[in-house]
Amino acid sequence: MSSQSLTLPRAAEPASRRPRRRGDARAALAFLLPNGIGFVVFTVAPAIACFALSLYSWPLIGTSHFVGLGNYQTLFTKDPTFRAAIGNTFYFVAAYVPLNLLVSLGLAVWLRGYSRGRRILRVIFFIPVLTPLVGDSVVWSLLYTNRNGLIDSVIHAVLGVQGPEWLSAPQWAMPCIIIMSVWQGFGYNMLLFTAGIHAVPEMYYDAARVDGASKWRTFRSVTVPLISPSLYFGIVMTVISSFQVFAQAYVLTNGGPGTSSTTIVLWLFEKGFNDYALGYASAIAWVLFVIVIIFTFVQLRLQRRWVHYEV
Amino acid sequence: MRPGRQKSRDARQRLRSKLAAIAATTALAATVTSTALPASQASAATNTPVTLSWEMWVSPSTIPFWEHDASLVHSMYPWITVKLTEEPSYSDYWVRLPVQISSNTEPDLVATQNLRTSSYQAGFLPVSTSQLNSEGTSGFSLSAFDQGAVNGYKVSGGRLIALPYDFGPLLMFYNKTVFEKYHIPLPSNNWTWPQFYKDIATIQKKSDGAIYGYADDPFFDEFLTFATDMGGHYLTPGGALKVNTPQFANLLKEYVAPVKNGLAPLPPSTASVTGSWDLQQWESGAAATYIDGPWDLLPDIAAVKAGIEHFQIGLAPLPNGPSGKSSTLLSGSGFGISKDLYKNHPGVNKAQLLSDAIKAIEVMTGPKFEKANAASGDFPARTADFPYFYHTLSTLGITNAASPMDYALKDAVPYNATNKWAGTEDAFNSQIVGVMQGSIKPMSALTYTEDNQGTPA
Repeated sequence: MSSQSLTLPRAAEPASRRPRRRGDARAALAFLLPNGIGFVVFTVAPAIACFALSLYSWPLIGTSHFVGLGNYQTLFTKDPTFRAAIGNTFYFVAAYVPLNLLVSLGLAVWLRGYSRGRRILRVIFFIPVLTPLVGDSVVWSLLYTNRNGLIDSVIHAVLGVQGPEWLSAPQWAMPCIIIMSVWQGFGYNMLLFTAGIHAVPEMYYDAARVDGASKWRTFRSVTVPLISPSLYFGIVMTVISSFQVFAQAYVLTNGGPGTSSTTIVLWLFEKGFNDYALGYASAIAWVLFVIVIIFTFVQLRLQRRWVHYEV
Repeated sequence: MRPGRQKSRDARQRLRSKLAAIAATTALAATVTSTALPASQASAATNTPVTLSWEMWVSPSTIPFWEHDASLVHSMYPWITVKLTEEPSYSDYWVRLPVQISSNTEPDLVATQNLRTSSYQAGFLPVSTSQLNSEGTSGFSLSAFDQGAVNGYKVSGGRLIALPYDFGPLLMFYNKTVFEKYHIPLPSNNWTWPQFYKDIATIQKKSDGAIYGYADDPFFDEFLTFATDMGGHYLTPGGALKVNTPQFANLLKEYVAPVKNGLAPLPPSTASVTGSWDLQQWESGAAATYIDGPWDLLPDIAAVKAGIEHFQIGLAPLPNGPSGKSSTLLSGSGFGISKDLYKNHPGVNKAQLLSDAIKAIEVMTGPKFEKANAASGDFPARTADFPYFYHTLSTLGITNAASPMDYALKDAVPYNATNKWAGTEDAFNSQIVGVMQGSIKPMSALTYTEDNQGTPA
């Protein structure tokens, strides 16, 4: 009896579900179609066109001609600025991503809870994310001004020495961009991690307290594993956006002095919109695309080892 | 106008709005009350009416000024109407133009600059002197223009892609009040670079470091002006860039010396993007001298008046180089006829169309407009109209402009460029602050510039 009662519905399932699945598929398709069309028209097609363009020498004025992989060959063999741009971009990513995560996670943990003060602080820390990046960069360029800038003035007042040539010295240009970027960008991840932390059931912390776990142990063994999906999302998005760093480098240093802070997207912009070498700029775009894809894929593979989706 | 001067240009355009209204009214009255109609008007009935589209960089406040310039054409040739079709800002204009040239969507009449002749000549219909004389306005003569201004638009065969409406040599702007305060003889037409270095060191010393003697612009055209004054030739006879030479390395070393010696502030590496860093240093009173063109004089006067440091402005030619001459580069703007003229007017007689377009640019750069232009602060390209510019300055307190300007123009040369100039400038500008700061060697910067000239525009 019991086996019958179990098997009968199963036997009936395929017949009853098939039409509903078709209906679901149609509805899903209808919902997806507008976005899908937009994705194809505005993302896939331009990306393909961009790749096609990268196979041409395509000046804005004059005739274009097919060069095959010539632009890519030039990029990797004859363009020292591009190599510098790759190095600078990796430098930025390597420094910015950990710093951003450290500050945002640290503040998210520190501001765990719903008290009024914590809420106000969260809003304050989030404000830089809402302000225009270009405006932030202009303000920071004033802060970094040699001699008369606020930072230099404070250093001089406190330590009695002159600060370095922040934006004019090659060894300081990129750190300045990184510091400004962390200040501007940590608020987003802070909010993301705060939401993740607040979703952790309190009983786990209670259990940790009962077991006598230290704060560090609680953070490492309770908080981090349980917010790992948020961490994973934050890391992926931060890595992608940091590979695309442009505005702050453009406004703060314009890639200089020399090529010490030229990033991949800044070089792409220079070649595409100052030099009007559209094919070459497209090749740079594709190299960046491939780099980002590789990093995202690696993170996707690695997440299976440390991201826990079930609480 | 220099490519990097967008900001100052905008400031100038704001100021110009006030002056433009006065100038336009005066010029319009002169046009309307003109006693005799030109002979060309008699033939109006026989010509097909044509509307010529025209584009140039404008700001909202200067549109009436330029529309007045266009109306001069119609008042002289009633069948021709020149219409300002788009109103891009200066920076937008130079993004639009190459796209329009590339896509064959240029307007009929196009504003350009002599510096861009090599890069954008493909977008223009070059015209010969004989065409200008025979097809244009009655009594037109190229000799009425400063020949340095005209030569900047010459392409192969001696034909021109544009007629100039303004131009100017680079000059030394100085803070007269500071020079007088520290009893330093005012710069004259005879001064030299060693004298200049001595003067700026004196200013720095006597002000206890409060005032820099000079604001050294990290900008390619300013370095090339200095190099030209010192006898350097940055283009080969064939027109190619050649700067990675020991001579230019030494010149660059000398150019950045004021910064390295602490006589000028170290600019930020973004100075070439804003294009007005040196101007701001000088206007604010932080630096006593800087190099600029006459196009920035009126906004400078306004800025100094409005600023904290109220000082008298002095003008001098660039210090004399080793040859005993002050040889500066000439920059300027003009109007030309686009290659899309015939395409834009299908079915219209080509000869007539070209003739009408030539008439239009001749009137738009003609004496009536140039007087108004000089009154609004542009240095006119017609030599007979120079006094109007000097008069404008004298009413604003600069009474000695004619002497240094005339001296500077005497040995000035057109600022010629290659067709890869945008990339070349970017390459140099990315290096220069590093050279000033000491992290990049002059020869490395110049080699980088040569190696990264970019693609032909």
